Amino acid sequence: MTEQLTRRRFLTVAAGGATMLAASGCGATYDVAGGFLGPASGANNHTLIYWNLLSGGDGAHMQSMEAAFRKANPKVALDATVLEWGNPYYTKLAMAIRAGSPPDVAIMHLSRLPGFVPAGLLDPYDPHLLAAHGMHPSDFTPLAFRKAQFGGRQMAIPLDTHPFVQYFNTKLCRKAGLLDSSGMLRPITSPDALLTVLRKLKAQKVTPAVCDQINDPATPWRLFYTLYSQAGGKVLADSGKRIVLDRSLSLKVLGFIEQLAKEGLMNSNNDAGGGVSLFSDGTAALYWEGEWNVDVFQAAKLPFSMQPFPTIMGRKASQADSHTFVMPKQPHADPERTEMIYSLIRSLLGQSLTWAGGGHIPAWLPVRHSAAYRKLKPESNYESVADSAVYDPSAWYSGSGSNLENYAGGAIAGVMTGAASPAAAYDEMHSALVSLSTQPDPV
Amino acid sequence: MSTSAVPAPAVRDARSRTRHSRARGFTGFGFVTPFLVFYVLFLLLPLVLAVVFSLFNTSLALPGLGRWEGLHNYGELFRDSYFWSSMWHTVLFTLVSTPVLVVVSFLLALGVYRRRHGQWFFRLAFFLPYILPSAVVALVWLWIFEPGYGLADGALHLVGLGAPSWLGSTSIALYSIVLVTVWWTVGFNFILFLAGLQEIPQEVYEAAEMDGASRSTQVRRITLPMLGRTVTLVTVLQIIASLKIFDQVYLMTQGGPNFSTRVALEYIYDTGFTSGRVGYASAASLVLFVVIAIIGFAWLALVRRQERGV
Amino acid sequence: MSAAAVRSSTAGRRSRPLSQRVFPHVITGVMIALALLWLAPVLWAIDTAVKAEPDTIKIPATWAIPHLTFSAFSTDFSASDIGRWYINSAIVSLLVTVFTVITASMAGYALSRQRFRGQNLLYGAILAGIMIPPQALMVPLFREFQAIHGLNTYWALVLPQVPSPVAVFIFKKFFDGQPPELDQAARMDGASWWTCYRRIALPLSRSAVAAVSIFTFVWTWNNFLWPFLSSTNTPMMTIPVGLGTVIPGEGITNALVMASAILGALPLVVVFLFGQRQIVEGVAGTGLK
Repeated sequence: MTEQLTRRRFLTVAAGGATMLAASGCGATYDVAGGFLGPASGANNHTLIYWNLLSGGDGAHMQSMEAAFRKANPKVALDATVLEWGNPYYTKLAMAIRAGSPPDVAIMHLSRLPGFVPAGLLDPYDPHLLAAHGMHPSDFTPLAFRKAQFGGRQMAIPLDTHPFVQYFNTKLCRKAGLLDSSGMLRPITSPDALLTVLRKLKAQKVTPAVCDQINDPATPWRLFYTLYSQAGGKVLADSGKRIVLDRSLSLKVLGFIEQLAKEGLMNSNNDAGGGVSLFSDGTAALYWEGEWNVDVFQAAKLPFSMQPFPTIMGRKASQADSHTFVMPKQPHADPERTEMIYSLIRSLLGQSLTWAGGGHIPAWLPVRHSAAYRKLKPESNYESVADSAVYDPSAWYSGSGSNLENYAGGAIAGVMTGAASPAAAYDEMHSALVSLSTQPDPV
Repeated sequence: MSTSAVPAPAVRDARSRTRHSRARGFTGFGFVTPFLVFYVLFLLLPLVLAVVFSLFNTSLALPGLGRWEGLHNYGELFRDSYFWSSMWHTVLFTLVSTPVLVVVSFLLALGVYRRRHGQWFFRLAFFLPYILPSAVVALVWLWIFEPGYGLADGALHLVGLGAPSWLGSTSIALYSIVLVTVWWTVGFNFILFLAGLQEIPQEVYEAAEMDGASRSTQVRRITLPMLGRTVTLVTVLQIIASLKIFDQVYLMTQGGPNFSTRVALEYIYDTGFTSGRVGYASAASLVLFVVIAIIGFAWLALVRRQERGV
Repeated sequence: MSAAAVRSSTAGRRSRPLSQRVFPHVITGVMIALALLWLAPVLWAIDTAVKAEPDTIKIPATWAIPHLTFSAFSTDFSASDIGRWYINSAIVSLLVTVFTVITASMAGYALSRQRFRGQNLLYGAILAGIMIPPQALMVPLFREFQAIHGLNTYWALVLPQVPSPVAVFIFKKFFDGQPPELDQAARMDGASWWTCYRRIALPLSRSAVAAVSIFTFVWTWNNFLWPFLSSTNTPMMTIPVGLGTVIPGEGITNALVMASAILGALPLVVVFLFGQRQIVEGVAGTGLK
């Protein structure tokens, strides 16, 4: 009877198991033993594990770049995984490193390095190896390359700079008389000038500007931080231990944002998807966001162009970040694998023109300064921003998709939707910063 | 019967009984040992560790216990408005979803238990969601709530209503999660109520009907009282499960928009794994554990009293 | 009741008012509508999965399928590691189920049939474990396995999910309900407890084993949080973790994502269809007791 019982139990589960195995069988080379013995054992030395958070339009470009690498390197099995953008990605990456089996190479935002480097979670690059693979410091956007250095060691290799920019619908703007002879918007150099432009567009019965506020704290943060930095403001000091957020400057910027929302010059009830829709179907004339949506609008055959966000508050500054390649700290050194990593990075950098098609400014100067890139319109319109980019304040709790962006962005979004006053938003931002900066530093 | 015949076997039995009970005792505990090994290693030990960690500034990124904090973590916790708002969101979620889940499942069971044919169809429809993994539920509902393309917006469009921002509005997002949870878990309560209802003998209802009792009176006077224990059980299980909610929130909104759906466990995850503050997160999870334990013990006391009353 | 009252009520039953005759059918109609409402999300997922991607982004959303295609399902196997996740989930769920049934039935049997010192206290201590929310233990568990370099292995996935006080409770309750004569006879013949357990108790407890097995299998398969934390490597993920973490494909992926969701749920639906009776009885049984 025990036999009957065991048999029955096994049959049910085996039936399920057989179905699954049959379904999954083909092509899945699987290492069940490795599952029991641990990842270090029997590791396939020719598999390169590469993590990134590039979903969406630019993700497609990265995948074709990966395909090109695979074609040129048939002996290397490149295992690329796309994970969700933001905190989930970085949490997973940190945990994987702590768990002792991280990916071989990963994409990391430049602004996130302070949360990883001090804890020793990343391996530095070897300048000799870099040179041997054809990568020299002079080949990269200086600002990004320098920011990836900690204690004299190169901790990340920048792939691009992706700033906050202004998309504009050329048809609608021409009708409002805002374009110059070359088809670019005439320069807007002060808050009043921007208000004038927006009011002119509003008179044309179009939505003047769109900048996401709902369920998207990053974009409001980018808008605020761009204007605030143009006015010369700083947010943090001492690697995030001191808050230097200036109250009157913040209120000035937030007040301007409030005015845009109140006067109906900026849409106040859309999320990221809604923002894309509003601009791509021609409802909105201006769209303020990172440059990575260029593919979507080109596919929609929209008459549009792009340019740096107008400098209206003083100096040239645009909030930006950079995707970089980092090498998570490995439990055992493996020179063969390291060679493959450098090869992969060099290969992807060499395909920066493809990458630029997704909207990002290549950090690889041979491409960035090339004629082919300059011909890439509208992507090359804002190329100069790479040198005046303002990265998120440096702190372990800061960076793209971090708690700082989430808390501060949430507060700023309140002003954009009309749910909060500038003073209330400032207080919320400030107390969030206090809370974040006084937490014991886990790195 | 001679007096000698009785004591001798008794003495013999007593001796063999002691030998037997010693043997039994050894095997008895031995039988439980495999289970106990797992229990100690993976339930008790982590609990003890959680208490230990909560007294230090243990970090995810760094090895060792970290700096001694004593009760400092707890002090910070009680002053932490983000923690308390996450507890509040958890309580609010529980307060809203529990009555809905209890009442809806009861009504569904009521509508189904007397059927002679087709019960399997209703069991399938209402219970199927319960066996789906949270990731599947999250993916399906994220798609349903997709602005414009999703079923929710489409359905509202059909009846000419405008669509709210299901997961994007700070005031609505939590209720959207309640909606998803109701769809997902009502089946469990439904089955419990179904079984409870089917245990009530038909004769009781027939007698009442003969006395002229209307259907609703029958429900009020017979069904509800006889289901008392089931209702209590369902309610308490529901409350405890709601307090432990995590999966749907993490997968669908990650506590957003603007932390309006951040529940206690999501806060603990954020603190422990995203910010890497293992010690602080342990303190928070112990506080949550105490809250759940209090409710659990209160229920046990209630049930014990109910049973004594019966 | 007077004869008149009985007569009037039986008379009433013979010619019931229209409302009473229609009422049951209204209820049926309402229940069918509700059942369809409950099935709608799953049907919508299937509907999307068999559409071509461009057809999934129509406004307003529609059920119509202009081009029926199953390519999303095959793409999912090549675009993500779902094949591996199936194997992982199968292995983990199977192992947890086997270990749980064995350890819990042994413990339940001993606590029910045998007499030894402190067994009531032990049973109480085990039951108290039901109170412990597993989520409170995530952080220390992670550290435990991190310390022995055990993360990203099957052991990390399987072992912490084995101790189940509820399973012990179910088995003890079951054995309590069995007549004690059965193994008493064997015991008198000198059989050891282990033999009694293996040859008599276990075969008789088929329904309890089935209930616990199915429950454990489903619950383990669906468990998200711990596998999410302990399996950071994509090849070691279980189905829920993979579905909830990795973004498959590129461009518009609505059909692909729905296909992956359906594939992820399929084994459980199969288990449910085969073991429906046990699941339902198990839920009802544990609840009522």
